[in-house]
Amino acid sequence: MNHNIDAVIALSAVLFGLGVLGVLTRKNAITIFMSIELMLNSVNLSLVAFSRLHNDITGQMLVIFVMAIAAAEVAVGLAIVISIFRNRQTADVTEINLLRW
Amino acid sequence: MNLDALITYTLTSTALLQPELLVAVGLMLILVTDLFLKKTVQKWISVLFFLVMGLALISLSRQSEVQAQVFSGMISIDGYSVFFKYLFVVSALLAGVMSLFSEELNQNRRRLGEYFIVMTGMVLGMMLMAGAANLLMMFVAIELVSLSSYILVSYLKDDKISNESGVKYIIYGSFSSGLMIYGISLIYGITGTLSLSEMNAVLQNPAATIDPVTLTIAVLLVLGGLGYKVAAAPFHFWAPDAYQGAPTPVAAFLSVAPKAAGFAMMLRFFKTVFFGSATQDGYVPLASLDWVSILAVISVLTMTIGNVTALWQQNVKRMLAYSSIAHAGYILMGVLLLSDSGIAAMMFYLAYYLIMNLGAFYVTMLLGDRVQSYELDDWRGLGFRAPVLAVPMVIFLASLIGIPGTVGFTGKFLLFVAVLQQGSLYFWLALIAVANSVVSAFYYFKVAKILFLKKSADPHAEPVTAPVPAVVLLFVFAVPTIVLGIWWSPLYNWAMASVRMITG
Repeated sequence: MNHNIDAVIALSAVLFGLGVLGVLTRKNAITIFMSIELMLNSVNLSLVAFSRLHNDITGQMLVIFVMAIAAAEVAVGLAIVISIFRNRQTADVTEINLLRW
Repeated sequence: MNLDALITYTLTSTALLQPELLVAVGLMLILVTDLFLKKTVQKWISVLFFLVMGLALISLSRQSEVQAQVFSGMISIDGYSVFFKYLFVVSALLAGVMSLFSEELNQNRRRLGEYFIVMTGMVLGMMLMAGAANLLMMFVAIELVSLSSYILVSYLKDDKISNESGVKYIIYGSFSSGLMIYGISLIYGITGTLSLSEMNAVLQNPAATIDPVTLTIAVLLVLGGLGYKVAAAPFHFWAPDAYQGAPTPVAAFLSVAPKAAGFAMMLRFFKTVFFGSATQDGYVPLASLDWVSILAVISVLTMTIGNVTALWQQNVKRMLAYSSIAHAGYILMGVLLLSDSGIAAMMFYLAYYLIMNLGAFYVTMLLGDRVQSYELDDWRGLGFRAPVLAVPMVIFLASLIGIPGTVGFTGKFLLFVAVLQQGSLYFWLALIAVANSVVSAFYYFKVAKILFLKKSADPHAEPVTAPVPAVVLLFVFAVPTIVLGIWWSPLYNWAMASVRMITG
């Protein structure tokens, strides 16, 4: 089973890259949060793979924590997006530009 | 380990972790009490907050003799972490009192309960950050602090600017915590452990083959998360936006406490993982990674960007945000020195930076609330309308520059001495820092100039005053800024006594 670790790590790196790309290029705040979720979940994938590689359970333990934290982060993030949407009728980050330099 | 031994171990660990538990219990207590408090008396929730923080201070004094790692090496309790925990609790107390005088927070009759709940959670997170000796604990603690700060920054729900700074803050924040956790997963992949001391053992083992490139990338990613917390240069963009939009007491708190927590964690991470066996001097870096140069570059970038950008700021809160970025750059110099005096100088710097920066933000809050503006243009001649507030402001600004006679001078002096002690290699670093201090004088003096030397637009403007308790608090900040500048040795000796951290 251990032979495919490279492929799993590569997949996780690609997913992470896609997430980073999404954060940098997307304009809608909610899509940005989805991209951040993608980043965190790609990390989960690699953590599970490494955990298997080292035959060590702590990696999988960390995965549970990452999931919980990701959920909390999205909850707070969406709450903030909702309040900004109420005040300005937009969730487009390019239009959220009262603060500059 | 059988069940009985496990229970005994857990109970022993719990007993040692008293201040943290007190804060955690206090958080729940505030939460429940807030549910039952009528809206008319909800301001009294703050009393509970101060009570919890006061009790935490008392139990911290009992923790200071302990040297132990608890919960299977998750958290270290040592003089180093206790020093920082004192800083967090004291700054939470001061920021809590500040919030009672803030009009932004009190005007729209929002429940202050949730404000203090989140603040307590943040203190808990920072206390765990200072002690975290395991990557898992580091990540959870840093996220607890981050999530609380997102909520506090966007606390003024109806204010567009507060919303905006909240959304920018959380996007930057969760992005860099994503980078950090990816770095953590790579480190775990390389070393097969999450514990910092075991990681050190793996790195020291000559038989282990570790790819230096992967290790560097992983550490850089972790540094991304940490650098974001202390607002160090490529990750500083959130700071000006977050500070400008946040309620001023929150901005003040964010600029000192989480920054100190970030530095505490950063230093523990590097010192525990990347040092060889303890010699007399204690600090021999492992050859596997040249993190000193990396940090030196970041330090120079951070202080230069902070100071130069601050020069053309027109908004006082934003200017103070850039100033706090610049100070993070100075403090980073203390992290990268491989010496006790460097660490002690850094701890001393963080301790007094807490007082003077909270003070500067406090005056900004009082003046800003009364003129209804944080723009420098609206502050012309305010010094004559509000001398009681403006004179302490000048003291804080002088201390932020590092004028002799204030604690800012002492701190910078100790830091530069520690840098120069490390030999000529670091000479250029000290030189850049001194040049930066000179640059910083321009924008700090600009505020003083506008307060006292410019004429107000309206010659018949009313004098500006503040309630007596608010002025008393002002002296709580202003007096130590002067006194510590002259009588600094007790604080420095305490920092010096707390530099050694246990590595388990």
